[in-house]
Amino acid sequence: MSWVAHDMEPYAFERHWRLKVAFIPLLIGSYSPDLMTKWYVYGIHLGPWKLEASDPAQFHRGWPGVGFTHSLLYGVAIALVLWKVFGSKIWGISFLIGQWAHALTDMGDTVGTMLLFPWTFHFHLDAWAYAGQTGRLTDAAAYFSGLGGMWDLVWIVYGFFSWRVVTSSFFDAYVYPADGSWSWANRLIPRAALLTLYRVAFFYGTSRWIAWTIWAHVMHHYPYDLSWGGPHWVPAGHP
Amino acid sequence: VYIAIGLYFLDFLLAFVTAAVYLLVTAWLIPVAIRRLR
Repeated sequence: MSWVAHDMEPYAFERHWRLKVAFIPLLIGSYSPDLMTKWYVYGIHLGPWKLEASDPAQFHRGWPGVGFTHSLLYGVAIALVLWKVFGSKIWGISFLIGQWAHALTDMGDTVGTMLLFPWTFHFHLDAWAYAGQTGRLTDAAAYFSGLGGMWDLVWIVYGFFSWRVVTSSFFDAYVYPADGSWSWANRLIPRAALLTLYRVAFFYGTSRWIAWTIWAHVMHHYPYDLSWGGPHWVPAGHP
Repeated sequence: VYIAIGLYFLDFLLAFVTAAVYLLVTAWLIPVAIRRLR
């Protein structure tokens, strides 16, 4: 899994496709595969009960499970609903781009994704260890000690090189006019607040990359292991 | 500041909504309030 790439990728697409994409569905698409399921992968406490998947990797990426949310077909299905049912082609295409980016990015770990679902084969590059089954904190420590964290850093650096995408003038010239949702929201919310909301994922991704890196390596001294498939000090999940 | 709070309360780092509220307050509401007070 990836922690920050899904926050930053939509800004890279904005930089290149400008008026051809709508940012809101792009971001929703980028988050969508994990949106309703991640809590069950890590588990939550409800009073005396703990709700969690018995096999987190299988639940998250497999079948049976909700792994189909990381497939190309899932993106196409939701995009068609947005286009044909709700009548917005740009929302459909933007959602599709965001969701495909997520599915392809998550191929980088040791569990991978069922890209061509209903074919249940997992495509995986094994670049970093999938550690969702170890719980949220160990997963964070492992992720930010291996190539996954470095892959996120690539997106952050690219985001900073593309800093113009978060400027007020870029928002006014491309983001706002590309999608009527912004002008609809502007009837209730001032433009300055909308601009702030547009910038949230950029801020959120960058800040938590820094914070988790400090937490893992300054406060807790988890060892870096930038070898392929690492870090090897955590038991990696496999399909 | 967001990072410092997040390191103390890790849950603060995990939710997009928390980041959105934080940014709205610090980058929009507080500046608006200060401008009105002047």
